[in-house]
Amino acid sequence: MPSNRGVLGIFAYVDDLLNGLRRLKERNFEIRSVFSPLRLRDIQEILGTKPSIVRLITLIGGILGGTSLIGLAVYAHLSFKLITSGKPILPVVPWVIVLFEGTVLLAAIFSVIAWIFKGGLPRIRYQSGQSAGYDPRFSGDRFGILVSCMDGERNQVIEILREAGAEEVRDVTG
Amino acid sequence: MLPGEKTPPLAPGIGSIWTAIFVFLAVIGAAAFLYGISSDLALRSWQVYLANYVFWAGLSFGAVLFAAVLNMTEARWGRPVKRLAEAFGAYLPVSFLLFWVLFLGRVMLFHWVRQPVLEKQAWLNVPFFFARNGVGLLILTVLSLALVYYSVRGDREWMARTDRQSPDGENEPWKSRWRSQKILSPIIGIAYAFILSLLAFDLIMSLDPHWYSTLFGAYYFMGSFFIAIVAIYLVSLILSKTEGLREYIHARQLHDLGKLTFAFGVFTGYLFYAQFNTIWYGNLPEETRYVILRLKSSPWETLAWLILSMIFIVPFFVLLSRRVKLKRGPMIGLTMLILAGMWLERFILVVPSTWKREWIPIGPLEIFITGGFLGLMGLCFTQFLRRVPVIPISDPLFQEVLASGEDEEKLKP
Repeated sequence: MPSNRGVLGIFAYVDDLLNGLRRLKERNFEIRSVFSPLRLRDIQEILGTKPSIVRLITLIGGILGGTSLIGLAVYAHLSFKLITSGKPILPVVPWVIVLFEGTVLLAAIFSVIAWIFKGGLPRIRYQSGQSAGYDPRFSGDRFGILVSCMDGERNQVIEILREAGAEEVRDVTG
Repeated sequence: MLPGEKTPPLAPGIGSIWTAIFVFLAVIGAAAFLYGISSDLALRSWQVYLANYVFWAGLSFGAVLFAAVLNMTEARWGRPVKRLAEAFGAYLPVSFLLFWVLFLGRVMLFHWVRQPVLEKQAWLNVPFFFARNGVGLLILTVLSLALVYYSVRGDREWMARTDRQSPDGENEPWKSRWRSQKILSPIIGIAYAFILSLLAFDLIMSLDPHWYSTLFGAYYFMGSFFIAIVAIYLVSLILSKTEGLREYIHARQLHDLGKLTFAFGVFTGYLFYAQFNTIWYGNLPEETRYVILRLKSSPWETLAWLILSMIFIVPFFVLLSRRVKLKRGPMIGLTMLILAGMWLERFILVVPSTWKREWIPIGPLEIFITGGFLGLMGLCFTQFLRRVPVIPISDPLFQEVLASGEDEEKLKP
């Protein structure tokens, strides 16, 4: 039952947010989500979360891009005998650039696609209740912590959030 | 230490044993060099002297540039290592003197002294050669030492302040020293690029007077900056556990220095490739001869591959990991590997132009002479650090870091 019940603390300052996170973590509360309008390395460090799978997908994209473009070049050069001013048919030296470009291209494309799907996009219209605890201000100038808790722990969590400097604390269901 | 406290920061725990070791190395090196030039090993002595000269001078200029870059970018993360970077600058006066020793070896080293190249004689003649390089070195040495001087003087004034002076008062003398550093830093950046390019063209490229590469100057000065970053990383790793620096050099500094090592390693590799690819494509005999000699012919080919793996391939894959950048032991090993690789890279830029035999001239003589340069650098570095505060205590940005508590460890290995 506790998983769909939670308390949301909304913060105006990063330091307060991190402070709140540290305190909750110390007392082993289950932090369901942290909302931030910008990437903060500290959040990941405090939560100790595993790195996102996007990194792996980017790597796969990079390897695929590099090998496929080199493959294409090898195929084209062998098929059409593209000999340029006495250079070898398969010129390794300039193909470093081909390898690099192919790697960067597919790595970037894979990364963006993974990032979009991992972020649950596209979501054309925002509907309240669709993402538990999300507040449009989290895409603006506020930070949030969503904590899962049992009824008995609720007051304790609210107290921690308020002490850490939350400007608003409310219950969230869903 | 808090901003308001007056206790001078301790010098790092560098024992006098190190002074003895460095003096010993310097003396042995000097003896080996003198023996070498007076025997039939003269060419070997001069060429390794030149390779060492360009390596160590590049390192110390690059390290002072690193301090200047920290000032220009107002980087707060790097304040604790600023004085370590400046300490490499203590070698610069010695380096300036060592340059003039090359005058004695000019006939043996520079082919164009023995057989003047007519079409380049206006540039490649002995008086103009030593005059322009001497003046260039003097300018950059004076600028670099001025930066170090203002930095240290500010600290001394800060520590000797009276009770009536506020540590962060705007009109206090150390604030004007900081302003002087801010003015000098970009000037050093520009002078560094011009003067190290000149050194690269004259001291290395002119060894093979018919070969030319426009990018060579940039390749040399960026390589030197890379060497400096790696050297700063190495001394930070070594000294991060010593008294006086333990409280200031944390995982964050080591991680950032690791990232810079990675970035500038890639950039140096990129510059090499940009040059190599152009020469490969153009396939002009006057350009390719320099590269073919080093990369495609005996005995240098194996060494060239070894260097590529030491300064690019191994560091690239090792430094991809975030965690390894914070591990002291492996990183000390890696930085020493890169420095050895960069030394060999300077060696392979210089020596094949003068050495025409079928074997690589690296033996006890070369090792002793290199040890001599290491001894001189080590001596200058440690003696400087013993006499000045080991952290830039009057630096306003360092004060800000202390006041904000950013110096506390936040990044766990």
